[in-house]
Amino acid sequence: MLLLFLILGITWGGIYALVGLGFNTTFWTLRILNFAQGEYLMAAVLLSIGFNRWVNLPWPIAIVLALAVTAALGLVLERVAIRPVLQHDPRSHSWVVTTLGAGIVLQNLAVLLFGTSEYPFPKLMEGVVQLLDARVEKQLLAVFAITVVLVVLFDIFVNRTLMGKAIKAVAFDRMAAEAQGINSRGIVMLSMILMALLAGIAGLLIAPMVSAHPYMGTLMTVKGFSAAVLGGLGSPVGAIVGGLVVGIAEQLVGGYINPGLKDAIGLIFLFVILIARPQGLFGKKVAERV
Amino acid sequence: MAKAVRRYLPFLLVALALMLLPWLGLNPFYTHLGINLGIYVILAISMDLLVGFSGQTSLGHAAFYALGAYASGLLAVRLGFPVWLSIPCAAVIGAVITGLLGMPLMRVSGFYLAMLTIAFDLLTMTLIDQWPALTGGVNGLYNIPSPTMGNFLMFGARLSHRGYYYVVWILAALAFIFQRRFVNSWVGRALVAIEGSPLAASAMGINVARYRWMTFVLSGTLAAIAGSLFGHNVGYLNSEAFHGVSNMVLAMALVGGLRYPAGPFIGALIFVLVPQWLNQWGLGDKQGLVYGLILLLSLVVLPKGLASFISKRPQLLRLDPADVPADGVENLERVVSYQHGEDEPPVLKLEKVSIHFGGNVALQDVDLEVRPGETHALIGPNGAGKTTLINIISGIYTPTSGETYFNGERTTGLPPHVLTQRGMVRTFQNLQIFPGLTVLENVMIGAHPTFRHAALTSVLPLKALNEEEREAMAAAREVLAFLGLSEYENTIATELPYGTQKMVELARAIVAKPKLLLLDEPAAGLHKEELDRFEEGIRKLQQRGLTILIIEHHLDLVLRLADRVTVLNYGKRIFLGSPDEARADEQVKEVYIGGAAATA
Repeated sequence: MLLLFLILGITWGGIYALVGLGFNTTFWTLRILNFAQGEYLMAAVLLSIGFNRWVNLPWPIAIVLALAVTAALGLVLERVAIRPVLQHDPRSHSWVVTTLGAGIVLQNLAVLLFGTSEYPFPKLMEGVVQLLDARVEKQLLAVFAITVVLVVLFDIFVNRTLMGKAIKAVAFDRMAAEAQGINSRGIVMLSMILMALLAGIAGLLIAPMVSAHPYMGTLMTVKGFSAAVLGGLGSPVGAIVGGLVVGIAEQLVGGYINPGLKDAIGLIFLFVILIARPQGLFGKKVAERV
Repeated sequence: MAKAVRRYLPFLLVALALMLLPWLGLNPFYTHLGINLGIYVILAISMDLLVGFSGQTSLGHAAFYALGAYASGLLAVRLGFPVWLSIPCAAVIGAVITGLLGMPLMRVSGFYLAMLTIAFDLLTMTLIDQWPALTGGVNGLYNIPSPTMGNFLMFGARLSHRGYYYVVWILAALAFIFQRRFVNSWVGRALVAIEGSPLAASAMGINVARYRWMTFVLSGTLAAIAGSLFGHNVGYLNSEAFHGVSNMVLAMALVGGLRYPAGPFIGALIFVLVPQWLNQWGLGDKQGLVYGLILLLSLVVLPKGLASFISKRPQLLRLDPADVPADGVENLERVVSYQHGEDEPPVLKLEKVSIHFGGNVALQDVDLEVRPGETHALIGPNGAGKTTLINIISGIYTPTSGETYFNGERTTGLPPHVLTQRGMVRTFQNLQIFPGLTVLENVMIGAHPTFRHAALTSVLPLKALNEEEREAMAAAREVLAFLGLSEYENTIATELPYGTQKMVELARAIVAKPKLLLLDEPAAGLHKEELDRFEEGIRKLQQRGLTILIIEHHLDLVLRLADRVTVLNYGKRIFLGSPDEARADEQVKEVYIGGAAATA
């Protein structure tokens, strides 16, 4: 059993890591967190289902189109919920309320369009494989493999490409980056798109394993945030480690202690790390300039 | 008298109307709406306290509301507690749970609390559903004493909805009075200061973490009380009843208008009516969408809320300044007056203080001694480490090695608010004026260390509190007069010219009655006339025996004012002596002429 729990934990942990990375991208460029992140995850899934069912598009096209729309929704979020409050007062945390509001709107629109019933989502692969004493669904392994590829791609993008370095530059000092000719507006847009895509892909990966419905995102916001904060907000390695820790702990607690406690793990990690080490495992403590 | 009538008349009229509502012969439905309104008012007051005053957001108030409802309901149903006992118990349980959940507020705030409360909300609802042995699970908890079930007994009397209406509104009125007295005091000003600038607030002697935590606990407790009233109204609970409540409470507070006394009433009224309207228009299922849109748009469309249309700017002063005369003459005996004996220890002493940032050594083995009554200047070129040193002295940074002593006591590593409470008060190089507040309110925040009562006592009608408030206001007005700022008392401080704001900061520091005043580039950016006024002000403070440590780039000015001078360069002390000696010293000349003379 332990092996199965670990595989499940690592796979789910990878998903939390993706959502956590999404938190990081907007935190770098705008110093904000999108409290509607989980709703972006849900949107990509339900939009794919909508395009497949109602427009009769084949799945691959439906999924690509859904991701494109989700990315566009990310841009809309910046324009509607984030830019106005930051323009009004750059120090304010009002974006907590506005992005949450945007998420509630998305959720309720989804209820209007799709109702509250649960939809099936096709698996990438059918069947199971025998790993030592555990029978593991192939789908699970596929999800894990895709997550690893995505994390590697994300790392290459941020650290090796010019655009990724521009994101880092804006994160470090927006004014200085602009003085170097970096289009910070564009970088902000890019970070919103990345956030939406990371959440959306995470949603598409888990959709076959859970059921797709308008409320599927809410818990993911919390768990992705726990992962990001546990690892240290702003640290990609942190988000991955944080995601894995939360994912594995969840499966172990759910498997050996009580399945009802599974969803409490994210909250408990969040609570403990904020008391013990608010900058997270891999975060750096920043001194405020006065 | 007439003033008091004008001030309280609207509330008396509202109270009268509320008292009469069940007797107007209206459909009993209105009594039900009135009960809901009272419960919502308590919820809105609870959220306003948290968001409006301390600037923290809870996205999970439904959890505290549900906790209160289930706690009181379970105590009454399972243990047979009478309601007069079960409701206070629910409040205590609410306080304990929010107290524990709020523990991270000692370290972090802002969006962390928002996410913690969301997570807690989700967990609470899951627990309610998955712990049927305790809560009745999805089938719900039945038979809670309530007027709906006809079994609500209070002190032996069986109350109908009409009777229950008064129970709810008495508690709503108490919540209202509690919140207004709490915030119309030094506590409210401290909370607003924290919201404006946590750093400056801690430099005013405000224990930022404790105030944030306390407000969160009070807010959660009020929500739990509202929840217990909700449970005893309907008599039946399941988790469904709390769906969307977190968002509704937040929307209520924002739409009503944060900090306005009328805000929670207007917000609650709207949200009692909205579901009725939506049902009438056949949009009953769009409630969630409406709440979402309100949260998304209200901060941009209606940033001050509806109450801003009918009320003046909310007050943070308990007394009318017109009733608290300042002498207006330059008599500052009550605020600034120091006698120094011969054998007093140095006010401030640093021993071999060093600090490293990563591999950078910003300060190395710096010694410094500030004697009672002297004005000590700290000068040096840009990057010499002057501001870093001030930040160490005032507790913002902890030195890597070395010790600091204040009034003979070791103070290394103590936080800023403790040092301020002991009498070390500073100003900032970058202005730290609290935005949105008047000059008088800003300066009154500076008087925070002179308030000696526990924060919660602010709600009590104690004579001593009014005395403290009067004393602080008189001191604030006096200092403002002394610095020639009286005419700006009621102006929003951040709307004043830069130089005037710097003087406001100086005034704010002086009302704290400092034993040591730390001035970090107080004259930067002042024009000639302002410079003269500043110099004159400092001289008058010196004559009253105030001890000052000043960093300043206007060398002429600072050498005229100082008794002794310490010169820093590259994190080391290169000179200590009188201003005349400093002018003559070769090494000092070298640093200024050879190095960064232009910035001096």
